[in-house]
Amino acid sequence: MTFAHLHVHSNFSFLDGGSSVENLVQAASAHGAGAMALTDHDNVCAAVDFHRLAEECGLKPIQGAELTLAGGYHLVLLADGPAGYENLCRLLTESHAAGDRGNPRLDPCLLEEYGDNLFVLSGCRRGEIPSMLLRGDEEDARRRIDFYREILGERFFLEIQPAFLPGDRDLHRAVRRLGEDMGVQIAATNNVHYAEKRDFPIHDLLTCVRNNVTLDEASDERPLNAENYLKSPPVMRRYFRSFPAAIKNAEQIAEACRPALDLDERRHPSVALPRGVTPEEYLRRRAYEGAKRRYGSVDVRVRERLEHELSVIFQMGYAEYFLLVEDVVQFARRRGIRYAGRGSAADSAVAYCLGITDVDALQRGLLFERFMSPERGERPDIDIDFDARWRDEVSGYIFEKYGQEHVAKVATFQTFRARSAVRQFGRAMGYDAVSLDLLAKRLPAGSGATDCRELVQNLPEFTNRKEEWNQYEKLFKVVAAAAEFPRHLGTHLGGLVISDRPLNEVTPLQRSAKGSMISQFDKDGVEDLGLLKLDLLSLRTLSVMDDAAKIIRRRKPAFSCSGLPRDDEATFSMIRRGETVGVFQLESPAQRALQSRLGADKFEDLICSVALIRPGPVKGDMVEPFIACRRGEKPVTYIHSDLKPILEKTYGVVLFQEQVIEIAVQVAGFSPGEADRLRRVMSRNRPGNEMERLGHLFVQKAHRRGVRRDVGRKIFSYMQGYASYGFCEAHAAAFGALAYDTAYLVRHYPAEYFAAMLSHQPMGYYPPGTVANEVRRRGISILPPDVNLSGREFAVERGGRAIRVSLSCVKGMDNRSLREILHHRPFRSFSEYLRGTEVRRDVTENLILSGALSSFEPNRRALLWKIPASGGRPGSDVERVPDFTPEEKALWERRILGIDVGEHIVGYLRRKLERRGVICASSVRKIPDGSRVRAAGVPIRPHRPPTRSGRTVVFLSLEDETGMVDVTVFFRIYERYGHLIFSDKVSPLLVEGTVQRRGKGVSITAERMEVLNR
Amino acid sequence: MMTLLMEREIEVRCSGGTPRAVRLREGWADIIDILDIWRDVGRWWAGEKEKTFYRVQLCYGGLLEIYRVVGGNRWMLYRIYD
Repeated sequence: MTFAHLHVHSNFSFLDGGSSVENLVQAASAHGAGAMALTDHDNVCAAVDFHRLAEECGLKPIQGAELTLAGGYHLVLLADGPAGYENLCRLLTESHAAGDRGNPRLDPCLLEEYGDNLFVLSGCRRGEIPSMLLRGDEEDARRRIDFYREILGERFFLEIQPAFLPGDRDLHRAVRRLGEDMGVQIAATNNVHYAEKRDFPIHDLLTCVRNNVTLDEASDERPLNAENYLKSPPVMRRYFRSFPAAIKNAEQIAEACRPALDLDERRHPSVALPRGVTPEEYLRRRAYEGAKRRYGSVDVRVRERLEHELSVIFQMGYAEYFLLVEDVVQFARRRGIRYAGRGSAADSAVAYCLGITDVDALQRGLLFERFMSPERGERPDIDIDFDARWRDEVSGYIFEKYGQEHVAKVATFQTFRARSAVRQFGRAMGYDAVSLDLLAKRLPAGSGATDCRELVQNLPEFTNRKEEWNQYEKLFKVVAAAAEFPRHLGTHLGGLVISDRPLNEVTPLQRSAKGSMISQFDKDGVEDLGLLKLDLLSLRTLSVMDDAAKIIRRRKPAFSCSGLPRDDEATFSMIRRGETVGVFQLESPAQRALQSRLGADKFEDLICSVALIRPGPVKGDMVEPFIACRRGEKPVTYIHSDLKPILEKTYGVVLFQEQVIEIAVQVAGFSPGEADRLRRVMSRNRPGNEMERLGHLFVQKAHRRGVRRDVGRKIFSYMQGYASYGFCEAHAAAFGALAYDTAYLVRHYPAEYFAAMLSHQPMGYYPPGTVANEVRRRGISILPPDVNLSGREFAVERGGRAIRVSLSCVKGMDNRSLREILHHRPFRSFSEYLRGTEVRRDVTENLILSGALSSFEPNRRALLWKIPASGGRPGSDVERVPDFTPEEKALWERRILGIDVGEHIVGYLRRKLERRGVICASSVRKIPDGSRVRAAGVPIRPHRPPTRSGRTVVFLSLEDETGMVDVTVFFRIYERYGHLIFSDKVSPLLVEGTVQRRGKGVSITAERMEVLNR
Repeated sequence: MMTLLMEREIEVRCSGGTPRAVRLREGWADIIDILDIWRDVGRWWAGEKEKTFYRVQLCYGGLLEIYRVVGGNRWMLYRIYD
């Protein structure tokens, strides 16, 4: 075995590793190494990726970690085989439990219990023994060596590193002397923190970020030199030429360590079963019981489908997985917690029969193989949305049922994004904080760190001050280099991992910020380790539906959201008019524009809508052909008769991933599993040889079934074109169902639905102010908050003709103040309110400014003066101070409540706007196509989605007191006015342009814009 | 022990890349021991180059620190120990 590095940090040593695992493995492989260890700080987060990458390069992966001890000392542990890895996980878990969150501390005495099958190295200069020697405490160092040797015997090694630091010579001499004296072997390592010497700058910058210093500032933590790279074996040998034993020992350790991970082992928990029944038998029984409930009777079609799915489930060994998920949803059902299975699980009739999903896969003809097949090579994944309020209760059930030791949350790796990278690296590089903040805020939220330079060069928000941004060139280079570097461990939103054995034998566990236990692996890592992962997602829409139903039941006790008629013409009529603000999945401007042209009149249309407005179909130019065919404006044609049954539900357009699979099956005779594999290869846009090979194969197989080669090639080109952005039909169906149900509620119970929706903000596409505006547009009044009349939530009043703003909506309202008000009311006067409650002063001010106390006294300024300690006296006569103007009151209400209670702020400017020829949003709807028009409003949700042409087009809505009008800003205009749209402060805008009518939809194509001044 | 920072060029005789003698005002002095070697990247962000430092003991008992830019030829006297 050639020399192997045994002390290596990747970028998973958060902010202390300058290279990815991939780069390190490639560098080691290029050096001809036979093995490498990965020893990140206090974690094994990269273990699975490291294992795979190393094996691909022909390297033996040695799993390890550098643990932190009390006093901040370091100790390197290397696992010998699976037993060593288990002990490593246990020790890491203990170290995280012992220290404060984020400060793990291992008690080395635990090595007595968990030290088997581990090699232990004394660490870098921050190891106990080197630190003691550097301080001149040789006696202490000897005692520590004795301690480790007692526990570990010959598995304990001292380390020497060619770090070229001051004092190294003496230190190395002392280590060698002690090693010889005490019979402890010495291993050569290099405390690697990056793959190549040229990666040093990024490591130094990460160190500055970690320590919150700039490059010009000194810090003990900063590396003095660039020696901590993955030195080649010849370089290491040269350094140790007078002490070759150190190299030999390192090689021997590498030889002795056996691979630690077994990625083929399944570690799923057992589920409770009736006596004498296998999981397969039980699943079959439950599926058929469910089928009887769903279908009434089990006919041949149902039986064949169930048997087919069950055979695949059994073959893949997932019977218990389905039973576990069924148990979870049964718990939710018993507790009355609304849920909805989503994603490709809705392709399964078994899942439907078990009540996991609500999509009838059999009736829809959905392909099970999109979800599960032996050829797929991927594990099935069932995601379930729960009412956001109770999702944690469902998680709690799983923790209780399977045991705290067997369940944990899944981690995510939080990486540098553009804004955070610019701020943190910019500060380290000494850029001015104010300018950095300005730069960061202008970068679109969610931008990747690699995009900075391009964004600054192309976005109009930047191009008007181009010279200024050029000084950040070096910063952008650094930011791009650190893009996707993991920054710290986070918690996956809903992922839970469940194991058959104590989890800390498979993955180290640590506490999240909220106190729950998380694994050190992300969702892919836990599954690769053979653990069962469940995604319990939370969806506020389900909470809204639940609450709306409760409010409706006050006047219609029998009402239920389950089983709403799916063919309600009034609902479809509303959808066709594009009046879908508040409707799940259908409320964005693009969706509203689509609905006003599509002419939806059945449930299937909504399923297609959910799939259509996605980046892929838009870029792939699928939307227009679909609309034209749907409306009968273009004939639907099929170049082969086999395509008709597959594509007729989408008017000849390939829209769903399942259709790509079906085409491969029906036309070319692929097995469904093979066809799904084909689809996945296509969806990754693999260029060149592989695609060509697949194309040949498809045409050949189709030809054998009597399809002409030219037709086969054409069909393959359709599949190729759409496979990368086709949507999963099952997922679209699941979401389409929710879309329809919410649309039905909006149409028939708008007050109840929007009251619930406003109580669950933030959610949906629009801010609460826009939702409130939509409420008013539908003829429902918004009543101001009132300390005597408002509750915790928004409430329906006046028989559904009004919605009362809640007290919770008042900015700053805390639970205690809210309880005080609810407990002590009704109040007969402002003085009684002041005397009778202990509400925080700032909350009282906000109640006044929002109008919640105006029933006592309409003069809000006077009320402010009456608050004690503001100079006034409770119970005194009203001060003769002038009240706020109606416009000022409106502005305060908007600021404190987030919604307009009275007039929309633009309404106050209406007279002035009319004098300038500006018309309101509702009037724009009446203007003929092509006419010039002026409109004004608050810009809502400006965004830059991908387009067919690739050029930037901005879409936004302008909101005024009569509603919204959509505005399209093409590139040339965006270049000139983009800085007004995407600015740090949102101001109302005046837009001049041309009306565009498409179907029932109206929008303005902008030509000129200006900020509206009061 | 007092030290004096210098930063002036000095002639150094090497063998195999290792400094063996330095030329002082009084003439050449052999280096009898290299007490320490370290590398320092300096203010790399300002264009400074990495340097290798040597703390050396001279034949007459003097103690110096000298450095050379990595990959360069010029030697600099960095510090003299009293």
